This record gives sequence, structure tokens and C-alpha cells, in this order.
Amino acid sequence: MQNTSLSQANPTSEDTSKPRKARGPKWWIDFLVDLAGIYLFVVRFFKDLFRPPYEFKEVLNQCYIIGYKTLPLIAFTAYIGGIVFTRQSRPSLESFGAVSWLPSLVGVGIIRSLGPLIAGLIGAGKIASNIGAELGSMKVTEQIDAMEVSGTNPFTFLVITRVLACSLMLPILVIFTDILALLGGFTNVYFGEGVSFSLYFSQAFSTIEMEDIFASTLKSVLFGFSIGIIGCYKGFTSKKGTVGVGKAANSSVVMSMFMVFVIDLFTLQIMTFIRNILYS
Amino acid sequence: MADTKSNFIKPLFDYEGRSRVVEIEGLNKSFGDNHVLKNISMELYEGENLVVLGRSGTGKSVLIKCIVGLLTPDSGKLEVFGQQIPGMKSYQMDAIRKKIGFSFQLSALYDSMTVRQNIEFPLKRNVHGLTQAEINQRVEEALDNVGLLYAIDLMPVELSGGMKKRVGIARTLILNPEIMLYDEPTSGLDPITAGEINELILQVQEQYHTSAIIITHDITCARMTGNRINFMYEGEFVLKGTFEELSHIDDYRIKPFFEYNEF
Ligand SMILES: Nc1ncnc2c1ncn2[C@@H]1O[C@H](COP(=O)(O)OP(=O)(O)O)[C@@H](O)[C@H]1O
Ligand SMILES: [Mg+2]
Repeated sequence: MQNTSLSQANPTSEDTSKPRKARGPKWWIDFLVDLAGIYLFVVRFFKDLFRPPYEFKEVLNQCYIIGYKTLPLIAFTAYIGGIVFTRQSRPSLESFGAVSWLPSLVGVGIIRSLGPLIAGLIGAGKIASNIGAELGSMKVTEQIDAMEVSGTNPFTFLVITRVLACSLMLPILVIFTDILALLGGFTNVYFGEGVSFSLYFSQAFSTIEMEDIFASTLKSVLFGFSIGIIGCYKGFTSKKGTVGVGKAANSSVVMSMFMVFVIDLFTLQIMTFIRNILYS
Repeated sequence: MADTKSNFIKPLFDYEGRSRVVEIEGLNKSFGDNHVLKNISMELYEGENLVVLGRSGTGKSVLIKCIVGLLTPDSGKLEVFGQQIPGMKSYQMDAIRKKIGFSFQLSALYDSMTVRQNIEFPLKRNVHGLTQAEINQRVEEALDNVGLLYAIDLMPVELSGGMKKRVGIARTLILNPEIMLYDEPTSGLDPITAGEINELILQVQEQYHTSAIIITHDITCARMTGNRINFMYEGEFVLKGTFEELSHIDDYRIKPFFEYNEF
């Protein structure tokens, strides 16, 4: 069963039998073309951002759609993630006799790393695929062309609104994720050590500093921005046909998940750099 | 093709004193090695319905996409209202596009919006300072003109193919275009619905005084809607004339269109 569906989903075995000319360019050429295309998209975004008309209503509409689509899944994942993270951190602390540090460890782990990562990855999975598929099907059914010839800039109406909405919503989703993951941690600590709600949260936040909040916000805005840009880029450059739309959705997810990790690492480096300057 | 003048002086449509709203001369367009449009020349006269007939894949859609600036030709003259389209600044392009209605082959209704929102969309973004009541009135009028007022609050997925075509046409009519471009208006429709769309095209010509280019491979559509026919074969206009004239021409390239549709 699984084998057949796998071989159907993966056309490479078919491709090799075709003459060389019919095969697409090498994957790394595709990748470079994508990078160049995304770069141009980013440049165009900042160029057109302050140019009227401003589609405020559509930005709000997109924010609503993003929240509505992702909140339930994020809530569930974050809560479970919080429980599991806390449960698995306990033994190592126990071996040092430092279980009382558990809430602060959980707080640091979630707010610095786990929360943004969960929100970013789920955002990549749900939001980027959604944008890629929607704009991809708009592209292949000529809806984007229709917008263009009716005197509306599709980039302003479709891309800028979605990228803005993603960049605004991801920080909110991260805060939401942090809270639910911390609640998951609390559930575990409460049933383990009977720590009270107020003690847990005051300990969890005790080691959090302003820079952590700043880093988390910076990270999440960048997550949102790249999810939006990549989804829109893949949709806009979707090839004809339903296969093209599927590919647009799929590669939006793959690429934006990849970017989430890259940005995670990048902000870590930046923050380390800033800390070194501040405290040296 | 220098003798086209003799082709358009027909009793049915009076070309006397009409200006040319679209003028194309020596237009070429390639995609890589694929030379799609080869030295195309044509003109569209004010108020006429010009049919571009040809089989699938000859480059008909590419031609009208060049006219609205969705594609850029490689060379040649392409003037709309006397202004050269390729290389035009985007604000000029937008001004021209407002005067052109484009009915897409797949109707291209915005999936996420209702029929009303679809039709409002170009109006709100191109005509400023209208009150909501005026917008509603114009939307309803446009829908009424295509006979679909009752569908105003439906979503595109709830519409049949013919209804989608009508809404797509209403969406372009809302800006009172001077030129209409129809890309395969009857393809994928049953003969009765196709006939209704053909009548709608004639009604639009009459009511809105549009000049139209109608792209089709459907000979019935060509006969019903066209004042003139330009026949495209592999990216070239090989024959031009009225339906009557073309139906008598013994040419292997156009014969099949008439033969397969005889009954
Ligand atoms: N955007 C495009 N990129 C590459 N090739 C295209 C593009 N649009 C059309 N073509 C090619 O141009 C040719 C004519 O297409 P088209 O104008 O759509 O034909 P039709 O006469 O059926 O409307 C086809 O061979 C098609 O593959
Ligand atoms: Mg076509």
C-alpha cells in the first residue's frame, strides 16, 4: 500500500527514463532561481508597501483567516509540547537534586526556543501551504491576470496583505503558544510537585529578560514575513494545472520550514552578538 | 493581406468613417524556441465584433494577452486608442485597461468572493467617490443586463459554467469598457447555453457600443457574433473575411471548421 502511493507521489523514477532534454534543470539551479525570485519579491514588497491603495480591510481579513486556521492546532500542540518538555526535563534535574528549578528551566526553554519554534513550524505547515495553494490556483485559473487587467495591482491586493498579516499574526501566535506551553508545563509540575499556579509562573518568568522578549518578537516577525513571502512567491510562480498547484503548496511548506530553522539560528547568533556587546 | 479593405465593406456592418481602436502590424511573440505569433497584422474598428478563429494552441490567447499588456511582444506595432502598448508606463497601462473588458476562458471569478463582491471589486478600485448605494445600484444593473440578478449573493462554486461566463462579463461591463476581449466565450458550454452567450455578446455590442475581439474555435459562435473573421493558423492570420466569404473558400486549413459543424 505505502509503496505504491509513494512511487506515485514521487515521479523521479519516471523522469529518468525520459530523454535528458525533457528533464528539468538540476535542482540547485531551481533553488538559485527561487532564491533570486524571492529576493525580488522582498524588494518589491518594500517598494509597494507604502504605495496606495492601502488594503487595510483585506489585511484584517487575512489576519482573521490566519488566526482562525491555526489557533486550534497551535493550542493543542503547544499544550502537549509543554507537558512533554517538562516531563522529560525532570529526570536530569532530579539527578542534581534541583527539581525546584524546573519551572524556570521550562520558562526559559519555552519562551526562548520551544514556543517560537512550534508556532513557526505550524505556521509554515498551515499558513504557507494555504497561501501557496490559494494563490497557485488563482494563478492557474487566471484570477491574478483578471485582477491585473481590471486595473488592480495583484501584488498589492494579494501579496502585501498576506505578508503583513503573517508578520503581524505570528508574534501573537507565539505569545499564545508560550502561554499554552507554559500551562502544559504547569499541569505537569502541579501533578508532580503540587506547585501552585502563582509560584510556578513567578518562577517561570524569573529568569526571562527583556532581551528574550525582544528576541522572541524579532524571530516571530521574521518567521511570519518569510512564511508569507514564500507562500506568495510559490503561488505566483505556480505552473499550470492541478499538479502545479499541489507543488506550489508543497514547496511552500518545505521552504518556509527550512527558513524557520535558518531564522532561528540567525536570531540566536544576532542575540549572542548583542549580549556580548552589552555585557562586555 | 493588403486587400483586407475589400473584405470589410459589408452591408451588415457599415465601416464607413469608423476609427481603428486597435492596430497591430508585424507583431511577433516567442516563448523560448516556440515562435507563437508570426508577423501578425490586424485592426479592430470602432463598434465591430471581430472574430479570431483558429484551432487550440495557435496563439489566439497570446494575441489578446499582448493587447492588454499581460504579455509583452518581441517586436511589432501594437496600438490601442492610438497608443503603443509595449513599453508603456504602468499608470498609462492602467488607464487603458480601464477601457478594456477581458472575459477569460475560465471566467476567472475570484473564488473567495461572492458574485456581488466580484463585480464590486473593479468598481471600488477604479471609480472613486461612489456611495455604497450607487455601487449597489451599478452592480445590480450590470447583473441584470446579463440576466443574473438572482445570483447576486451566490459564491462562484455555486454557479454553472454559463453563469460564470455571464458574471465574468458583468464584472468587465461594470466599468463601461470601450473594447471587449472574449477568450473562448462558448468553450465548454452546451449548445443552448453557448447560444445564449452568443446573444449576450451581440447585446453587449448594441447596448454598450463596444468594439470586441472574440476568440473562438466554435464556428457557430463565429457566425453568430462576428462582423468579420480573421482566421489564424499556426500563429499567422492566413485568411480574413466575413463568414460568408470564408465559408466559400476552398482551403485545407479552414475547411474542417465548416465541415465538422455542418448539419
Ligand atoms: N505564458 C506562456 N509561456 C510559455 N508558452 C506559452 C505561454 N502562453 C502560451 N504559450 C504557448 O503559446 C502557444 C499558444 O497558446 P495559446 O495562445 O494559449 O493558444 P490558443 O490559440 O488555444 O489560445 C502554445 O503553444 C502555448 O504552449
Ligand atoms: Mg486560448
